[in-house]
Amino acid sequence: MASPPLLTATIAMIAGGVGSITGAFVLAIVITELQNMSLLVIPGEWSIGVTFFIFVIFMLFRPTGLFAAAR
Amino acid sequence: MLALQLLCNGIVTGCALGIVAVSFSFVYATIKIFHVAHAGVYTIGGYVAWSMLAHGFPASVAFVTAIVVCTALGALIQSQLYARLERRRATHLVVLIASLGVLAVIQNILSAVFTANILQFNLPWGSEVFHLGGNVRLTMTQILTVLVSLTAYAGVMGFSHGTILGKQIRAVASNPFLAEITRLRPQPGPYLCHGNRIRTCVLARHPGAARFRPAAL
Repeated sequence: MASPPLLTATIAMIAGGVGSITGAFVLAIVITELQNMSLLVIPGEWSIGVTFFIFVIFMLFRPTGLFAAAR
Repeated sequence: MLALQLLCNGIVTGCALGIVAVSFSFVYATIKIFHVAHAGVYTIGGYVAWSMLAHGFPASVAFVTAIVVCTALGALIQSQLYARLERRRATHLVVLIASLGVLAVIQNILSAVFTANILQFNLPWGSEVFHLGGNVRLTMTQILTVLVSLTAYAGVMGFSHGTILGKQIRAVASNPFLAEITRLRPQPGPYLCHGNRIRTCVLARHPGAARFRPAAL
C-alpha cells in the first residue's frame, strides 16, 4: 500500500509542515530530487530506502516540518 | 550531463507528486482528515480522461469530464463516509482506516477494469522531444507537467489567500467553533475543499503525463 507515489506525497506533507501548502509542494520536489540524484551514487533499488532514511533523520531534528512556522 | 538529466526528471516527477502533497495538505489543514483515498481519486481522474480519449472524445471534453467525476467522487466520499463518521464521533484513527479502505477499493476496481499495466495517452504531440542545453531531453509531456503543476500550485495559493472563500476555508480550518459563531458555516467547507483540490489535481493530469497504474499506489 505504501508504495512510492503515495508515500512520497505523504512524507512531503509531513516534512513540509502539516497544513503548509508551500511546504508540501517544495518538499515533494526535494524528495523526488533526492531519489533521482541518489542514482548517481547508489543502485536504483536502494534510492527509496536511503531517501526515506534521510527523511527520518530530518524529522528527528525538525519534527514539526520545514515550513511549520509559516502556517 | 547525466546529473542534469536526473535533475530535470526529478523536478518533473516532483511537480506531479507535489500537487498530490498540496491536496493532502489542503484537506488536512481544513478538515483534519488524513484523506489518503485522495490518491485513488487522483488516479481515477487519469483513467476517466484516458478512457474518453480512447473512445474518441476530444481532449478538452475528456479533461473536463475527469474534473467533474473526481470532484463528484470527492464530495461523495466526504458526504457518505467522513461526514457520517464525524456524526458518530469516530476517532481520527477510524477515519484514517476508512480512508485507506476506500483507497484499496478504488485501487482494486481500477486494477480489475483497466488491469495493472501502465497505460499511456495516445497523443502524438505529447512525445515531442525538446533538447535543453545539450543532451538534456524533455518531452512536451514533461514540460507541460511542470507548467501545469506550478500553475495549479499558484492557483491554490491564490485561492487560499486571495479570495474571500479561501479565507473562509482557512478560518474554518483555524477554528471551526469560532467560524460557526461568526456564521461562516463550516459544513460546506470540506466540499469546497474537495472541489478545489480535485480541480488542481486533474488539471495537473495533462495528456501523457501520465502513465497510470493502480497497483503503483
